[in-house]
Amino acid sequence: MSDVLVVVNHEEQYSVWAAGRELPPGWRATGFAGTREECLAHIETVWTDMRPLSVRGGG
Amino acid sequence: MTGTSFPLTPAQERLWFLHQAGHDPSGYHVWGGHRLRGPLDAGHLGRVLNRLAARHEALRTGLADTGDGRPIQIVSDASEVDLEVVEVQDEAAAHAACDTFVARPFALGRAPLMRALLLRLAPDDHVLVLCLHHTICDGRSLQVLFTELYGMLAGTFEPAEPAVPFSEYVARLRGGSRERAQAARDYWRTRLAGAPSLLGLPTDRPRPAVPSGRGAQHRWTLPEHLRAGLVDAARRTRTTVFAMVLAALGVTLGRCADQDDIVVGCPMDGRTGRDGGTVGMFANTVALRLDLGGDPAVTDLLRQCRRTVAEALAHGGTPFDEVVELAGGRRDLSHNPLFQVMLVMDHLDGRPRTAGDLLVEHWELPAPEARFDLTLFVTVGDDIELYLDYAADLFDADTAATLAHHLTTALEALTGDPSLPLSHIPFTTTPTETTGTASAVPAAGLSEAGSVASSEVPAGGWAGVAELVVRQAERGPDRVAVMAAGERLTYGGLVARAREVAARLGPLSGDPDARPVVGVSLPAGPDGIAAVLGVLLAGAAYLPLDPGHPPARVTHLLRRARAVAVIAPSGRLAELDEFPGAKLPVTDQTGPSGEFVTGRTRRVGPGRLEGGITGEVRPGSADPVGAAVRPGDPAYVIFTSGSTGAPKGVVVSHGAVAEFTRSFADVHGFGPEHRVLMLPPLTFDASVGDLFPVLTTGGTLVVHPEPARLDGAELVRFCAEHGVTAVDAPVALWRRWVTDLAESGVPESWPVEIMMVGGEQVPVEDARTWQRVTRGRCALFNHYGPTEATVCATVHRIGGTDELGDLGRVPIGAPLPHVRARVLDRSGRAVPTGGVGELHLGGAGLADGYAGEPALTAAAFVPDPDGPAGARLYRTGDLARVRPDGALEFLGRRDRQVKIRGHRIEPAEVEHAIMEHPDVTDSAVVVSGDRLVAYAATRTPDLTPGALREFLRERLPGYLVPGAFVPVAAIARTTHGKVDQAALPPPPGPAGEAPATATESALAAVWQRVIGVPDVRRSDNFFEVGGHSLLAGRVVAEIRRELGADVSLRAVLETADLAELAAAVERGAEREHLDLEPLAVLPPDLAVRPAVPSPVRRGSAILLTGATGFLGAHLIGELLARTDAEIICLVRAGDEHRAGERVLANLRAYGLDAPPGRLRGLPGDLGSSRFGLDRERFGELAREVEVICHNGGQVNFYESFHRMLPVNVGGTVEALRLAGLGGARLHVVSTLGVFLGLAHRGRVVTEATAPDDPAGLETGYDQSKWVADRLARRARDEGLPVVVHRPARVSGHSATGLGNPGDYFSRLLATCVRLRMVPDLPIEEDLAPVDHVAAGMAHLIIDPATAGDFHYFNGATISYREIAEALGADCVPWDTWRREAAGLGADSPFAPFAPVLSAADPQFRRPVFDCGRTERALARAGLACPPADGALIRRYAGRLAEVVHA
Repeated sequence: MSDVLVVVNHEEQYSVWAAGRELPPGWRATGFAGTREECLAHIETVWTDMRPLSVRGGG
Repeated sequence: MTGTSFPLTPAQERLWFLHQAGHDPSGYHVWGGHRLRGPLDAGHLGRVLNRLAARHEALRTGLADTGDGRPIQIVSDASEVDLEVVEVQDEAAAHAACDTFVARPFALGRAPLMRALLLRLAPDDHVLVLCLHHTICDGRSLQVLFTELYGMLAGTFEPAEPAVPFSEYVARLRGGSRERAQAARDYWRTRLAGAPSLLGLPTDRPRPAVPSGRGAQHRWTLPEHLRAGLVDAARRTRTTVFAMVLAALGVTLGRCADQDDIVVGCPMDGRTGRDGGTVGMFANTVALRLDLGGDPAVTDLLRQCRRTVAEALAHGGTPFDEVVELAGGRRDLSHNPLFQVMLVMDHLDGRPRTAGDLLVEHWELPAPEARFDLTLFVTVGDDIELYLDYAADLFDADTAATLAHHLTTALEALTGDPSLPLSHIPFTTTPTETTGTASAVPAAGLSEAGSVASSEVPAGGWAGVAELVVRQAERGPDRVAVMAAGERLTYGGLVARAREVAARLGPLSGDPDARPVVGVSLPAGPDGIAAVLGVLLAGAAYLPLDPGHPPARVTHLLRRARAVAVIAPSGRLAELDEFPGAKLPVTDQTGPSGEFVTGRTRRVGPGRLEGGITGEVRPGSADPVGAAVRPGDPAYVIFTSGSTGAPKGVVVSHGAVAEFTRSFADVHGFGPEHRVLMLPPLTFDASVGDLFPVLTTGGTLVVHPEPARLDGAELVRFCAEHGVTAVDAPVALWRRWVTDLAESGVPESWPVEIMMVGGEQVPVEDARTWQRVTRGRCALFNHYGPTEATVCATVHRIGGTDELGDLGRVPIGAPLPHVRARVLDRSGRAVPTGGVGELHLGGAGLADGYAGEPALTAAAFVPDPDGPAGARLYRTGDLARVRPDGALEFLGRRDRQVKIRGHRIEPAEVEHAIMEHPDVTDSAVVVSGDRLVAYAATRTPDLTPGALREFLRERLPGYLVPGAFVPVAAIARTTHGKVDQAALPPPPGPAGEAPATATESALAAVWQRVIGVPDVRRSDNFFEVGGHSLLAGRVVAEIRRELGADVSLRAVLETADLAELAAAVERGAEREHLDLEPLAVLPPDLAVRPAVPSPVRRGSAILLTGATGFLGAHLIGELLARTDAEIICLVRAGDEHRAGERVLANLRAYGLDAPPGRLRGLPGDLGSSRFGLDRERFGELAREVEVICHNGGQVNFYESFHRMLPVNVGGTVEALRLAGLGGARLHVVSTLGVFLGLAHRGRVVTEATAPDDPAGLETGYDQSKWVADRLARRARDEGLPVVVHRPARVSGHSATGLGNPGDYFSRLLATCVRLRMVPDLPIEEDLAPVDHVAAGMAHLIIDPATAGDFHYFNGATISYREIAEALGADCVPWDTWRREAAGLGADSPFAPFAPVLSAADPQFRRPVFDCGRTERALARAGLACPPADGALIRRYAGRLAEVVHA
């Protein structure tokens, strides 16, 4: 059951969203889909710098 | 009664049992009526009513007990409808008469179970009301009756034949095929398996333990286009308007309750075409269950509704009670089983508009009891009209109106696009009323729930909160920033100290953009506050740490937050040797400078964070390290322990803190003049709510040295001493203050004007008390907000003088200006206004997330479906709803909700109720298996589980009352205040003890027999071993017969287990709190002053009721001896001859007789209207008799009030009516028992004392006699010649010793003789021999000049020691005697009383009777009461021995 999508906003903050539901503006799907648990596990690996994009420094 | 008899239908049987059990005697009446304008002949109306009775079998039917607890219905050949014709002055009087009329109970044994009232407002203006008992009538029957009645009145309906008899229906039901019945049962079992017991629709007020029945109505008419649309859509989709309304109701409830599984009830008419015009109880209720899961389209739902209705009709023969059992849900008196919402559809025939020359108009009758939470009546005629009846216990008018609005929206949608998914139905999701009414704060102008708040940048560039504090210091360096024990830290000093901290921290990272985390392990005092500020000035984020926590845990948190440094007292730092980062020591203010400690990476200079009280700010001096912070930079990390237990570090940005700070300060109007008492430690984000809003506005933080010591008195003292204007406290602590100060209040000049509370629900009662305690001068702010939304998201203000009315819960209010609040359902859709859903928070106050926890953050912070681009919402896990006025209401924790036997339960609600017990200091409720276990912390050893259960039973619906109670000394809690579940003692195992006491064994035997179970244990619940409400009625009957004890149906249904029911029985229990006074109302048709004196010469006969009793026999004897009059004796018998025989037989039993021709038996019944005589015979009797001696009544120690009402009160009413009709003098035999209430205890009662206060009367007998007594005196006040005689204990004949062997004293005496033992009771017995009482009464009765009241208490009493002496028996303690008496077994004379005798000495509290007036009156006639002495006792004992051995 891949009914959940991994989504991300302009600050590169990640979340999950039900597939098939219209995605609110300002969010885009990363392309990863799966169960809720799979999506959250994926986010655990890809969201490494949790600071909002606007305050991330050079590194 | 002659005629045919047949069994009851299951539906009738249920109503019969409810009636027998004394349960809500008038709750099952059905009534209707109209105003009739035009000429009306009452005589004609009476004849028409009698023809209706002749035509409809049900109107000639009475219900009788066959003796085995099962009733039958008996049809008479004829019955006469009682038509009361009353002249009334005005409409108000007419309404009052209607109220009384429909409430008066029926005696079910006597047909017709219908009566009529005709109120005459003017010669051509009447109100006609029919009232019937539900056992023989349903809603349709009323329509039939009125249609036929008006047709007959007009002469347009002349039925040649009787209507199809109701018995045909009964036969049809009984004759149905077994297979079909079984198939229907199978259908319901499958169909309703796992259905929710209680709809989760949010209510305005918590559900009471027992509904009051108060109801109200919201009424609306569908617009024409919608009516046409519905009819058209029903045709198009080949369904019915009913199915469409069901669909609309289902989807509305489903969306508002956030529930896919919906059950709605619907009445079903068991009539076929043939008996469509028959009066009778044909109604059954069916449960319609809808599945809204998977977001079906409109067309799918309609198809489902059509199928559901068709199936329900096909299986409608199963009685509803049986369906409830098949569904397996547990019954609960707080709500209707299976469904709480009823849908009633009525295709209006319309009431007749005319009846001949009469205009039939609407007349407002009393509203029937609200039996369901909601009942939707839909009438389809030229218009579609909807009536939403709602239980006023639960709902406000606004909420009902909102629901009605949603229903209309749903109906609109159902008539539209059939492919529309239900989730797309455009329910109104914004508040119906916008800002203003619920706004927490008048000044700040909060935005409406759900709107986006602006986060505009103030002029002068963006500044973080630390910078704003510095600006305050520049503006007023000498103002006091922090006030602590013995210390006043100025703004200048604070900032200086903070800068010192910042300087010492030095550059913390090579990356100027990096915002490192620094731990602060200090209490919330001057040092802690300066350290926090210093960290922020350094451009870092602070991580508050609990100074009391174990070093390992602190080290762990520092690591988790990737902290680079920690500030703490040096002693503490030494313990944190595992932490690799820098360590900055702070010394105690009073101690010497601490030495510095090494950090592995860097040295930080030693030092004391001294600011000096007069420390100065160097304006312009740049903050040492702090690069200007940006809104996105983190300001703090606070760890919260989630429900899962693992603490999570919430990262909050400077932007969020700044937004929050500004909103919060505005909302409370903080400024330099404010002094705020700060209680939370720095580790709770509530401290953030004090720190920045106060310090950025120039106010003063006041710190209490020992917050734990802060009780009510200390709060008052401390705040007065320090001039505190605002206090911020957790709800639990504030509630303690409310309790502490409830009596004393606060002093006149108390400075606190703002009380801010948060953390848990605020009980309305406490808010009310607070208003009173603070003399209306302190506003209460209820704060709500998770750490993830930065301290506080919503706020509700209750002004000191705000009217709270019947507010059910204190709202959490409106969002702060920078916050977005949305209530979303499980699939993330907005919930219709008023519906329940999960509260989601967004806006500028949102935290960044959880430090180092990407997955947890992504799961908790979700895309905002309709916010600004890219915005997130935090899922709070809290359930909430938006009230019609726009305020948010907290309804519980989603993750704490548990489901037990179909009920959604919020343990916090139960904990809350437990905490209301004065002896409970803390509580925790957990789920164990399928029951709730309550732990109550108490210091009182007397607080038993039983007492707690009783306490809760009065406050909570049954399903919320825990199954087990465990008193504990204390409940262990985590530092965050959460219950440490692991530390609770294990719940008690389900006990399986065998019945322990005699009563328990007897009850167990009753259960086994009635329910048909082999074994019953003490802890068994009636329902769980297979009981149901029908059987409950039988259990009540059996308990009464077997144990002679009267328990209410409620006791059987509500007690948790057998042991508790036994306790209830033993307590004699169930002293109902009856309001007797309103029952003592004279019927409106009582002619107290006959308008026209009877032209017929009145006869000289005497009417005596109660002639077959003990006193009655002796009264006859005396009256025969003292007069020549004929004595007419009203007795129950088939005919006159048998009536006379019964009277004679009774006379002879007491050694008396009557000469021929002097006695006449009159067959009749005290409990029936006009004594069961027809109108003509009653009128004749009225003219015939000169004197009425009303001595009859029902005497029973145990019988309930309601069961005694028809005979003891009804009989008196008829006697008054008879006297009024013919002008006879009336003597009423009452009892001195009417003085046993509280008002007279220990006081002297004479014949001039009026028993006006019934409070404290204990037996149904005394209560019913009190009402009769009051009625008699009331009639006398109105001018009727009434004399009241009140005997006390009437004992055997003084000469012969012959007494009434069945009465209490005779049985006691007989037992004493058998045992040769007399109980040593500290009571003096009064015994007035029957011959004396009867002679006295007869003497007074025949004297026409007698007036007033007479009392027959024999002042010459006898003690138990004297009794023992007279009998030559031993005097033994009561308990010994009681056990010996019980040992005699079933043939003991005392056996009938044995089960209710307690081990404690019997108490007879009575007033001091001074019967001087009666004694003097009788002495003049040579009558004196013989003393109760040893000789008398021996005479009685001798007679009893004869009787016993005969």
